[in-house]
Amino acid sequence: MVSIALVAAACSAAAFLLALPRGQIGTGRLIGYALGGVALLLIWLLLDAVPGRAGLTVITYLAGAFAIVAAFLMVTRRSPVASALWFAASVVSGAVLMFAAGAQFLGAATVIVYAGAVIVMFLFVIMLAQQEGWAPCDREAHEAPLAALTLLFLLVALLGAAARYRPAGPYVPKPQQQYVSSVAAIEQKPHTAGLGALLFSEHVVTIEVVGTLLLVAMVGAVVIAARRLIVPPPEDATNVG
Amino acid sequence: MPVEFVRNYLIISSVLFSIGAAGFVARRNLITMFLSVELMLQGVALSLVAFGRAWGNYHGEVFALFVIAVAAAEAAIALALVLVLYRHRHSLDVFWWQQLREPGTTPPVPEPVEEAEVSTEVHWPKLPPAGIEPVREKETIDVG
Amino acid sequence: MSDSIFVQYIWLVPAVSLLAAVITAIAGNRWLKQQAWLPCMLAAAFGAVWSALALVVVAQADEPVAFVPVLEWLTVSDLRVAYELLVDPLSALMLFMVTFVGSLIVAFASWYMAHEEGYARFFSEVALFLFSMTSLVLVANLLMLYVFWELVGLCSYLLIGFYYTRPCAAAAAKKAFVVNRIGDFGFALGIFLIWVTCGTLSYRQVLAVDQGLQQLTAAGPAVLTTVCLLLFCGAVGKSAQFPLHVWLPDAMEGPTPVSALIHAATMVTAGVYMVARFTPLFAQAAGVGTVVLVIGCVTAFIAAFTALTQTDFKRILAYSTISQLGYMFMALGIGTVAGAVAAIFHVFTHAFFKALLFLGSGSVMHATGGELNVWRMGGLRKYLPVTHWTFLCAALALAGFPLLSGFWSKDAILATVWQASGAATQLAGAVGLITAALTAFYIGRAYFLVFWGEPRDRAIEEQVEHYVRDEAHGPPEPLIMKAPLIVLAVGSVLVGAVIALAFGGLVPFLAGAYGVEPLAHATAEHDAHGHAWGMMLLSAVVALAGLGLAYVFYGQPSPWPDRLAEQLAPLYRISVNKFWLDELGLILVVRPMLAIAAACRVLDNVLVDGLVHAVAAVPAWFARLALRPMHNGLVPFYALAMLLGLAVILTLVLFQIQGG
Repeated sequence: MVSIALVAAACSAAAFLLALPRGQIGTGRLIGYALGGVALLLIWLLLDAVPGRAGLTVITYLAGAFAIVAAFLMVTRRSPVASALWFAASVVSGAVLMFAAGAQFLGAATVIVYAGAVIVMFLFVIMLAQQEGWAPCDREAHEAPLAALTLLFLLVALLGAAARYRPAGPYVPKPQQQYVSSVAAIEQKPHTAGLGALLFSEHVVTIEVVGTLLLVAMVGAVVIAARRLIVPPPEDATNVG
Repeated sequence: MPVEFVRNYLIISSVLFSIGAAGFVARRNLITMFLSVELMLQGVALSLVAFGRAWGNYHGEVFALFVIAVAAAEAAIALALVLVLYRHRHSLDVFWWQQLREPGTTPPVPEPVEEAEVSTEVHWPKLPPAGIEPVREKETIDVG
Repeated sequence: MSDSIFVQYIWLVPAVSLLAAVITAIAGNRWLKQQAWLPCMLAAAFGAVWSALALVVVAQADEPVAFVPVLEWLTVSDLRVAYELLVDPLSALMLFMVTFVGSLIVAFASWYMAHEEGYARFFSEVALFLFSMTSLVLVANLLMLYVFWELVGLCSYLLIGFYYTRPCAAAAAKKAFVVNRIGDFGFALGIFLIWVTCGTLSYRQVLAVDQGLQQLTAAGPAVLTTVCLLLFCGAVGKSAQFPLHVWLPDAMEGPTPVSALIHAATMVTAGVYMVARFTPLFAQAAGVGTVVLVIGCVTAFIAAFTALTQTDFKRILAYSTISQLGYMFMALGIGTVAGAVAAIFHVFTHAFFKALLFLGSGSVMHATGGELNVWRMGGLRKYLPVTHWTFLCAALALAGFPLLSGFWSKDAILATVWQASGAATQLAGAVGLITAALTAFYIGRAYFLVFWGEPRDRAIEEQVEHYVRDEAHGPPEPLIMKAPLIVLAVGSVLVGAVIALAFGGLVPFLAGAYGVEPLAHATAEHDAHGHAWGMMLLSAVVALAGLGLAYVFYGQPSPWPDRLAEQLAPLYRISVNKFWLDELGLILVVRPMLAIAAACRVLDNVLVDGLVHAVAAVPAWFARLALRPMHNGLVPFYALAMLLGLAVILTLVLFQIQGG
């Protein structure tokens, strides 16, 4: 398992390095995509079938793979518009994964906030900052080898840890962890209702704080981005100096 | 919830996170960089959901919800800043912004050449008579 | 006696002064402004009244010694230093003198210093001085004595340098401080030696015959002598004795009330007080008495001789102070209770007339617009009548005019010296007599030059006339300035006679001081035959002769001074040049010190700083070479550094944990 994880990490890093925009389009990019495919297969190998939940297994494999592919394309495509669209795709598949895990509210929120609001905002900005052709900054990556090295190390650490993680059985909450209820209980209750009850009982202050934060951010964004008003100069102030 | 389920989610979310991090480092376009950051947050949110399910309660999801809220706030501010930066240089290239470096050192990468026409005319400030608000220079770059 | 409220709460006297200092320092400039003298005045007046009552209590007590514990200051293993006060005849008398003269001088200063820059600062520092000085005479512990000894030195430094923008004032302050350090160094060593030998610093033990004294004599033949010499060393610095007297004339750069209070009446007598306080030790120490006697004698003569030809009004008075202090040490050098009492008697009377002389000179300076050269003044008696008459009283008292206060106390000293056995004391008595003549002459010279005759300088005359006529700055001699002068004049005239005749001298009173009682009994019969009438007559004749000669020389225009200066050219030059002592000090002490300091500076700059710079250059070099390029201002690069580092560390940590 660990060796598979290491190879997958290496393949991903190499694919990332090759697929990054490096001036002109060449064969390296295609090789990169091919290596990315290999890496994806290896990651698939790392995934496990969930016993007794065939549907969940399939969704995990497909949506997870699609999320990864979309993320990969997002960071390697040159056009910011394409990146934004691939990001939306990745987020949507992430939302699917959340649905599959039973977190319906969160999945919906992700789609609404990210794939809806944020992406629309991004596209709006891209439209504002429209440029003729591809800018140099989109054609050239910065420190691509070191970035690939970063990816390599991150994946080695995270995938390696995940692959080696073999607990003896299902999670058994310790008695002193009072918030833990049984999985059965959480699956029986209407999910969003339980989440809402928790949010507005125990986390009600946090909710208020986060709401205020969003308001402040909105006001801040308006202040930062608003065009300054240009005051017409008075007539008699022009030739003094 | 089975162990395999949680590990699958962890693997996927860690790959998403890593790709986002690498993308943030490697890309030069401000917008793409921010997209990468959002991707990292998305990966974290996914793993939080999985953890919450594993423990059999809602706290992981609450946490993920707050992550999404903060990410939305951050995106709003960041995009406003990107817009302001774009107005200054007429470009989204991050290499334009390296004034934080030590004084006297040569730039590590050359600043990109401005493609738009730059006016070479110097506008000296003029002193208005007392009591009259000074005139602001009109912004030279007109966007939108 | 110790249950009397005035003794029990004697600490209020210094405490109130300290409070006044703090109040004036905080509120003076902003709120009190021209009323900044009030806290200081109230504190001094309160102290005068309180200490007068305490003095009465002490005088009437059967057992006139009381230790008043106030607070513990520090305790380190078996060293206990308490702010404990000793009230006995000696300290009560000194306390009364300090506060009484101090309050009069503060009242005078409120007029004299008006409209000066730093009015509040002045009174804050004076109040601090009063706190330190009253504490100095009261404390019952050598370490506390040293602390307040230094504090009065600090106040003296601050007040000499009051006009700190004048280079000469700043230099004089520094000189006073540095010269005092030399004496204080010895003083500190003496205290250390007492601590090492006796294991305590409290007067209770050190001054007790059966405790501290016994330990000191038992420790070895030279220990007691060394202790006394070292203590005397401190007194030489503080009381401006030869050869450390050079700072006092320069200290006249301070405002005149400061000269009157600190450099004439009180602080410079701290040395006399200290030696008198340690009479039990000095009386037993072999050979020390002679040293004290010789130093006092030499100082008295040199200073008086120098004062003959000085032209600076305040400097004449400063040399006179040094000379009178020399008298006091002569008396202390006898080493008996009678000698110490005579010295303290002279301290007491001297405080009155010398403070008065200085205040009179301050009044003259105001009238003449700050002029100090006596040869440019003259005829001032018709412009400043009160100043003239009070100055005359003080001058006569200083000269030893019969029946005035200086006469009694100086006579007490000369009689004591004369009566003591030994050739040295006989010689000292003779020198004392000559000095008395010189004293009468130089103070007569100053008096006649300033107040008699006709004005010698047209500009000064105009200035004085303008000052007297112009009412804009108030009358030339307002009440607040006249009153202290008159009170001090009355004191100068009467104090000596009252003490000598009404109370029969200070001996019976001061014999009750702590620690001297055993000595007093031993020497009681020595002093039995009262006043030495012969010596009185002799000194009166000498004083009158000096005054008469001064009148002949300076009372009217006369060719004699110039002719005498030509005839006795070598002596004249010695006097004018102050025995070349300043130059001698410059060559023998200052220049070598400066040379050593320059050498040290070079060593410091080259060797020490070089090493430090070399050490400091290494990280700078490393940073310039390795760290500076990393700070390139590029956000992606920073992010890369952070993430790459994080990833590597994460990899290492996770795999180590999992593998282990």
